[in-house]
Amino acid sequence: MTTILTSFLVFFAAGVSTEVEPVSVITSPVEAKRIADRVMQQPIYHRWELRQKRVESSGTLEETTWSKRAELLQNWLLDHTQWIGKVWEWIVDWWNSWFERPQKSGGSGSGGGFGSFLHWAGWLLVAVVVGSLLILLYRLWMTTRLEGKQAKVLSRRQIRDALQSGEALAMSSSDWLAEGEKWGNEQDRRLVFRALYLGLLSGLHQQGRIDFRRNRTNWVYVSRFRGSEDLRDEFASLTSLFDEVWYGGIESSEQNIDPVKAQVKRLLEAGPSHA
Amino acid sequence: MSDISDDEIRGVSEQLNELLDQLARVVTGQSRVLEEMVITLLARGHALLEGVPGTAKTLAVRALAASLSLQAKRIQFTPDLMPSDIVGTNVFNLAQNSFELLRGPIFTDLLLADEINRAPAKTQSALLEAMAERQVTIDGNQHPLSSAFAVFATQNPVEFEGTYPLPEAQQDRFLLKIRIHYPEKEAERAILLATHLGHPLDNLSDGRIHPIFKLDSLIRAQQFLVKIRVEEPVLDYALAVVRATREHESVQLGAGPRGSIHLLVASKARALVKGRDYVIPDDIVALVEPVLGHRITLKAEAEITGTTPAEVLQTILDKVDVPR
Repeated sequence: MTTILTSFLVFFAAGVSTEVEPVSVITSPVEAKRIADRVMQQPIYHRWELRQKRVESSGTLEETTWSKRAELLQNWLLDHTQWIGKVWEWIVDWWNSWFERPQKSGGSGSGGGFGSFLHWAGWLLVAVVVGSLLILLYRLWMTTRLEGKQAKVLSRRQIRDALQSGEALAMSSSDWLAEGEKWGNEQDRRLVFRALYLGLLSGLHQQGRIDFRRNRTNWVYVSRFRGSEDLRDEFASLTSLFDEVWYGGIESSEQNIDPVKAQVKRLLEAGPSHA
Repeated sequence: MSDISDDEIRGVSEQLNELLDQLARVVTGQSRVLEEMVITLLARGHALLEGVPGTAKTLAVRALAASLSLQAKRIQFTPDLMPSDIVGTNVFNLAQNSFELLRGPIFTDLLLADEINRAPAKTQSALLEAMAERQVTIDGNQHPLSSAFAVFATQNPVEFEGTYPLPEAQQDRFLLKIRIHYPEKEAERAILLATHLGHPLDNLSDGRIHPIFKLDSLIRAQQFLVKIRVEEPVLDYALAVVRATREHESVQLGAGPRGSIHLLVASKARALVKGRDYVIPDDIVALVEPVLGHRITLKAEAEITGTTPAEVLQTILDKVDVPR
């Protein structure tokens, strides 16, 4: 270590003498260690260290073209990334000073109260940021996990947009039915009917029984339904019911939702159209 | 939900369907036309029937009047017809030494204005006040018309020789423009068979027609329309369609607010005919062409390329989302 340090000081004094304190200043081993620590933190030391290691391993300074390029790259990175360290240090200092402020003010009264508030607000902010990051990571993980099963996690905004537009294809049939279940628990019967019907349209479209387009009315779907007469009649009766509940503003009662769910399920389980 | 009971709705709807069945027995193969005529009456509007000769336009109006036990009069519009021939005039009675009103044929319940575009604009305009306000002014005096007053005007789209196109303001007064096409092959065959078996189709006094609605029943059915429910998204849908006519690239003059009102009222009448007390988007779609087709003026370049109002309206319907 001593050898390395000595040779470095010689090397360094020749090139960048302004960055090192004069040798005459060193008055004690402790002082020498302090200066050495400072030197070793500087990028030029790392460059020298790398060079030295190569000399020790090969015994020559004649490097290959590739090793030269690598050295240049390392040097460049060391030169140009030190600002990141400085910024980080600045952030850490600022952060520490922020939390130390209440202790420094030390007194009681409004200044101390405000400082304490800032202290707690700071921790709250940290908690919120960490919590958000965790949620984001969880959603990312869930999406990645479910993509394999050809499913997707819908955001609240996606669901809200789908509801506002009545765009049946904005969600899969199962998503609509799941939303319907949710509203069923919240006792909003009209929304349950709507979710069931939009889920039905989404499912029938996927099965090729109808071609969903936002500019088509429900009875156009009925008239162009691809399937047996029985299925068409069932679809027509569900359409009548949806019209009555949604456009007619009729509040459906508890007991007539289950048969509708069963009807929707039957239609969706009939499978894709072979037409 | 509206405060009409289900029984009331069912009762009126059954009567209306009975009326339509009866009319269909007389006017074969024109069920859509008959439905739109009934919608016109329910919505207290007027209709312009356009079709080639021999498609039972006049017969349909006569059959409708007979089915409703309403008084019906017919005016054959000709180039020399004068406004006073329609609304009437004050004539001097020598015996009583005073003027007395000689009422014109407009004082009736149903007025059949046959070939309305054969008369000049001055005479056509004699109907404006009557159609808009259900009254006529003769020599400064206003005379109310029947509460069931409705004009069913016919015009022939082919015979442009010697015809006067209706001004936009006049056309706008008509709730619906009902296009009458040739009947389907089977329907026309049925007409031929009936004629062959000696049933003169234009003779309504052979017991095929009996009054189904009386005037008070009709007025009550008309009052039901106020209670027909229209959800806001459905109303917005109708509005979006009408407003789109003003922004379409092929349209020079789109439908005005009266078009919006008429589309809504006609949709409510259709809902009632279908036995519902609420309007669905299908009602709007079904009536877009009859209500708005005659209210839009196409640009010259669109007309030259053969674009029709019906095509323009279809492209609009293809772009507007149905509320759901």
